[in-house]
Amino acid sequence: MTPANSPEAAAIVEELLGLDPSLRTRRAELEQLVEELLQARPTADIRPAFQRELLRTLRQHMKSDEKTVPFSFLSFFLPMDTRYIFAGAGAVVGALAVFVVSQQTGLPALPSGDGESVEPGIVSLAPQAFGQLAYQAGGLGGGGGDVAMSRSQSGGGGGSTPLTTPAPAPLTADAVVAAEEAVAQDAMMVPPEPYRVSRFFYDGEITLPAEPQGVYRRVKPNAKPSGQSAITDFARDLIDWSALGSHRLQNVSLVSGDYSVYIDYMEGSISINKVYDASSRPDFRCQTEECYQQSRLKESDMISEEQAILIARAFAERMGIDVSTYGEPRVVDNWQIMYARSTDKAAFWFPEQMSVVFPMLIDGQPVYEEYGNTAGLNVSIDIRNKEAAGLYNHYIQRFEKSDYAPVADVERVKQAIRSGSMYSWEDPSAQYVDVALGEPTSALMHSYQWLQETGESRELFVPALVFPVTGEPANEYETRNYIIVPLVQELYDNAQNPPYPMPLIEEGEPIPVDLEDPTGGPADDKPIPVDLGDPTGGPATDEPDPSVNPEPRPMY
Amino acid sequence: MRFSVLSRTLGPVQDDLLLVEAFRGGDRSAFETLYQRHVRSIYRFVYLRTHHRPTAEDIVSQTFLQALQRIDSFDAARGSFTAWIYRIARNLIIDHYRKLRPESAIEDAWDLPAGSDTAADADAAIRIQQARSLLKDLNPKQREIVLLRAWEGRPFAEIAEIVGSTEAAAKMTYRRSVEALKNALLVLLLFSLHFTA
Repeated sequence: MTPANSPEAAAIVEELLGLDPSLRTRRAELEQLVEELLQARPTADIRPAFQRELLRTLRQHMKSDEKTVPFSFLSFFLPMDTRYIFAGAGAVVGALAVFVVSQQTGLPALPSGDGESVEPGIVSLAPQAFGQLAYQAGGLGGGGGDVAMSRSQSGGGGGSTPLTTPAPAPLTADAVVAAEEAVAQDAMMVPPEPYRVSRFFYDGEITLPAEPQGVYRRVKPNAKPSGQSAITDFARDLIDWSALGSHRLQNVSLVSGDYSVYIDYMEGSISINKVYDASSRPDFRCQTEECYQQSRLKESDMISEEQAILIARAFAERMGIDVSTYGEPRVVDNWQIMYARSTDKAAFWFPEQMSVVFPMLIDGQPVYEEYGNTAGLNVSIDIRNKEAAGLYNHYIQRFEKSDYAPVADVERVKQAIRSGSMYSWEDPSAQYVDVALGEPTSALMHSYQWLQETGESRELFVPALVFPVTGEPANEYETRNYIIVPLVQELYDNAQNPPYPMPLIEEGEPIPVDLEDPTGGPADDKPIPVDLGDPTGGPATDEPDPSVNPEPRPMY
Repeated sequence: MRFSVLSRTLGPVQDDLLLVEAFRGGDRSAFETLYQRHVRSIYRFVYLRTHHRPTAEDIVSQTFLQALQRIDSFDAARGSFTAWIYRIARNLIIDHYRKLRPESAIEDAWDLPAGSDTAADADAAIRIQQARSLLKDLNPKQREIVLLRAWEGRPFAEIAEIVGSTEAAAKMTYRRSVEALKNALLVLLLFSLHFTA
């Protein structure tokens, strides 16, 4: 190679000689070295795709008047510490969020808005600041034990499902088909007749509060993270993202070690689930019923409540979760109750998991779901492996508070107590059993509400009376430990979506519908004649069979 | 386009200032032009200090987004737009290395051993290591000025703005750096293209 034969190398040499004339004595050596070393210089060419994408991002943010938006071409999973800066829409949002991928854990922290703390806190607002309150069906809870049920809105992130009741036996193919058909028919099976239903009563006097009742609303994160950092090379190339306009990160699921972590940016929650290898299950290769039976957990395999709580505490600590803002943890499973009630103990199916709940406290008040479950941070325990299987209901603990008028009609409250819920409909064919309640205490009732006009959801925590169930339940399937009745008038005035009992299908033959009606079928306002047993094919007229109970039955 | 006319009649520094003013006045395309003018040199500046493409792209992205956010704070009386955006990039690089090794000094990013650095791109790793050994005898400020002058080809006035010095002091440091390396001519590998001063 000819020394210093490139203009660049020559320019470098000339400048060096100009700066330090003493180097002239070594010019030849200098020229050769400069030329060789220039050719060895690392290239630093920008990727055209990156250059275009960044320009597109800048355009988007100029259009939306957003001052700064996170943008990263790094994968979430790069083992490096990278800061993502998010900003809201200027004066509208005014939030600058920082998203940190922890180098230590590899798990992302919740997005934190500008000045938006994830520390627990309550902000007092003017009375009735949340607008009209309503009691809606389809909230949380349902039957089951003293367990805060996971909400679909908070993700859950797939993975294992926390079991709060005894685990079902492995499904056979036929059972799966049958279950799918039952769902497809949107119908419930008829419980064995006669069936017994609890009707609750409280002997004491009920004193309702006279002062306004403070209702709490969970504050959701302000930060609306962009999804740019989740759009990796392949995703960026598969479609033209600019055609979709701006986007935001709604949720993300990460896998780290043995756990998957689900982050819900809209709700401000994180859930964690153990990633299980199905082949590690002892019944993975079972082909026979005997094999399944042998792999079942036995009573001796079950762990104590103390063990479960220790595992839960250790897991929360490992995950860096401060549980000091919660109440004392407790096991909330019902397998012991169910086992005690079972008549065929040999056939009892012991659950693979149990739950520990760290009870949620707002202003020092415990929180219950509508059907009496304890609300709080849940840790699922894998009984077989004696380890944590997951964690859910882990939210930012920030709330707003606003006063609402107390309920004044004690009879409506008594009716709610009697029914065990805000719904007072009773099935005339059921056999009701009176079940006693103990002395009530004050608490908050967790109510999940959907605002139809805005399409938004909200979580409210309403002052309520909590009655412990002290009497024997009406049937072996009832495991409610508490009856919750709210103390805010509007919930009684605006009860929505009363439960409409699902149509019933008797077990056995399909329901024959009279299609031979020469009139072309019943009038719209008449019930469809249904033969529930007549081998002749059904009644000759379109009059309903009086022997068939036309009234709907409650959900079972 | 307004800028295309200006660019034929004014120098790059004046062009930048006019573009900034145009953007402040509501002409969004002015910032796009600023971006197109500087993105390659900023990328080069960042890449040659991080040696890792994804990291460099991340920092370059943050650089321009911060520039977009803070452009109202840019004061032409205090320096050029080029120096201003280089300072943003430089600060982000420092932040990056601080996170990798929090106890390291601001100017010591170059001193980080390869093992603690981000994974350098394979094709650059060996060369970077050579440069690392050659520059190890310079103090951080000398090294930064040599790199800005040789690798980036920045004018001394701009270098002074970026590193928070004066032009005369930057030239002095550069000369002293060369003097210090006079007996190690291999360092000249780092003196490269783009002499624009």
